[in-house]
Amino acid sequence: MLPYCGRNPRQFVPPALNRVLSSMEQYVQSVLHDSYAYGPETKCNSFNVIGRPHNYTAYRDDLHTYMLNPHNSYGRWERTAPSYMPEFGLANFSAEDYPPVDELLVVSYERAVYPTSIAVYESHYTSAIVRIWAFTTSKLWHLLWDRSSDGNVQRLGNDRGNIFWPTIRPLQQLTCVLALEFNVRDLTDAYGIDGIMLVGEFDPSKGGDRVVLPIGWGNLVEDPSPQLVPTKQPAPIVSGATTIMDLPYEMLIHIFSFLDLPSLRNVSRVSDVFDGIASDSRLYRQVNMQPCWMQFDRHWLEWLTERCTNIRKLDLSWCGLFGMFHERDLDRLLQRNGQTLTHLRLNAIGCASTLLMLLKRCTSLVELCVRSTMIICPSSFDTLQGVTHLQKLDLANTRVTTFLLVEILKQSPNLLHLNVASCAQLNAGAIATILRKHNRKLVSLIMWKMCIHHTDELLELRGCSQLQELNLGYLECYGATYHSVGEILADMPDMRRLVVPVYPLLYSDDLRAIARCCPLLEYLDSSSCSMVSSEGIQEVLASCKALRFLDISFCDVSRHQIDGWVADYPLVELHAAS
Amino acid sequence: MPTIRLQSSDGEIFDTDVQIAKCSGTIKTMLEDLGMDEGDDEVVPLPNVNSAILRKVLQWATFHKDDPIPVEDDDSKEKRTDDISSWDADFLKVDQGTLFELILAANYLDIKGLLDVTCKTVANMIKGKTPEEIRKTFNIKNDFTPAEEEQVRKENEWCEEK
Repeated sequence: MLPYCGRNPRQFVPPALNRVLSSMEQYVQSVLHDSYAYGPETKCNSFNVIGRPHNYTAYRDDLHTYMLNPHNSYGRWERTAPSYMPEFGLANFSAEDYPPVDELLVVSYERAVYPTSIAVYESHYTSAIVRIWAFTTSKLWHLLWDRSSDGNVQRLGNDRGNIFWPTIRPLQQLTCVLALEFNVRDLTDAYGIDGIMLVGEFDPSKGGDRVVLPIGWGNLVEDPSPQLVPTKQPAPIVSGATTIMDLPYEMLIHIFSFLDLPSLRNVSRVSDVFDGIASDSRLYRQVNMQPCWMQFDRHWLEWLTERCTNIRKLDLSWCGLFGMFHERDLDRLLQRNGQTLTHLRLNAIGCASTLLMLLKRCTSLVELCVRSTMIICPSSFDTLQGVTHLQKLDLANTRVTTFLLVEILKQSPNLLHLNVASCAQLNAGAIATILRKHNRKLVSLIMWKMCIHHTDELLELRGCSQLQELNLGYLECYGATYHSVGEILADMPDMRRLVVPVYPLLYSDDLRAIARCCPLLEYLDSSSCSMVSSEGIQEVLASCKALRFLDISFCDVSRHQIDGWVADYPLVELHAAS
Repeated sequence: MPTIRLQSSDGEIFDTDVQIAKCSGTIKTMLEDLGMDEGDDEVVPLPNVNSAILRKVLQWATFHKDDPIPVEDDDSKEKRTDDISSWDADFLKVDQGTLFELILAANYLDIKGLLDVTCKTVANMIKGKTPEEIRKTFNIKNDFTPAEEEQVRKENEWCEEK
């Protein structure tokens, strides 16, 4: 019997008094959307939130949870990683209305209810949840809880696991879809979710257990029109002879340049004059709609398409869920305005995206991110048209084909950053060979959770001698030889960040090679490499003076040894779970 | 300490520390390019700024005289509106007429710091408001024709469903 699963003892006011309502507890039936690029295909993925929590209070390892592991995305170490891509276009969003969020999980339940309580079973005492939304039968997203207005959330449990039990806002509409936004950047340890219980009231006389099933539902919705409830400021006093209409065009442009997109859109509805000014393409050079994922729909996209004729950077990550816009709507924008785009981020968007089309429409692209998005790759195509300007390419957790990726890599001689984490379908050996031939300027390479036949194939990476970051964590590997990491790194003097947890046949000799070859190393994760012993670790700590992070969890070292290192190397953040 | 004499549009003379007056790009250019020497009894006329506003501007410039010289905006630099200092916020607790006149004066006198902080203040008055609330706040007439209004309404249906 699981604890704390009984009726929420808090007072509940039924949404409508003329109904006789019953209450029920439900656990997640399916995962509709997940922005996290590092989970799927193997353990730790979002499907672990489905059903009842199975490990609650007994988390020893979190593999059977939906694990947001800061060591995959580096958590608070992310910003110093060579692969870090700074956000853009967010400065005008106030942190109060739009708190920083990193990941999004959308789940559904079998029966639509009036929600009264939500309980999240977490494997770590520090919760990463920032906001909880409900998608209702009125096709709108409603905010049920946010951390900024209710920071003191009741927690039950201990440092191994707890139930996060926020007081949610009353909602007088039925819902069976919840969205959780997470802040991962501030996490220090792995954070897992084992289950999400939704308690709610329903009208038993209506019958039918399957009221709403929103997977295909969104496609039937013609004009979804979600909205966020904005916070209000008191109206200032109006007086004086000079009014806002007396300001010249350039002054109004300057004022509008400090507005976020939702405000800019409202301004364009104020008057004809304002609409004219708010249509100036200079206001739309850097557009980031991720904070408004819950309200950005086809009409917005059309509105933006008309105005962003000189756009440089566009981020539509997480937008377009439940058919709020389609690929053809997005393509219209790119067809019209894509030529000037240098940065395009479409991470975990709701619609499919044709990779070749993106490259064809946006020939100036320097950075392209389509992490966790359903991208479409043709089975055959003519070669790419000309050389691309790509420097950063993030395809993590997509179904990109080896065939297409090889073509893109061949045409991108200036590529500096490549992320193909969780792309288990890719032939990692073939990619490594191409990288050696065509992309020798590469600075960061993330191959987390890729599949590889034999570690010898990775020796090709020796050609990329400018690498500063190499992530080979959790490789699915069918064959391995000793000392492969040491050989790969032999000629990479700029290496700053090395991530090799669960790397096959990683011995202390490899760590000695790291200590010898990588004087600039700042970050080393060799956790769960059980054959690594204290001699190798000692050499890394002694030789790599720049080291600030070291994870040697589940390595072959004694507690006594670890305590000694903590005392001797105070600048190094040492992680050593056992 | 060298001073210069600034004359507002309504004829009032302000004896001002040169370093403070040079916060204004316009005055700085005048002094340097037009060969006006410090210590001259000559008066610098500022026909676009009245005495009430000039007094405010000089108050602002006095407080900010040691600020680093602001850099020009470019695409790479992100703008923020939540970085208004508490002194500036207090300083700008004025009626709208004064606020807009300060914007015009900051623009005419080319004082980038003052222009930015006043424009941010106005932007913060717009943020999070519906179109109707913006009209009310700034006393703006809705000049859309009924046909245009209908068109805008159709494009923005979600705004109506409050």
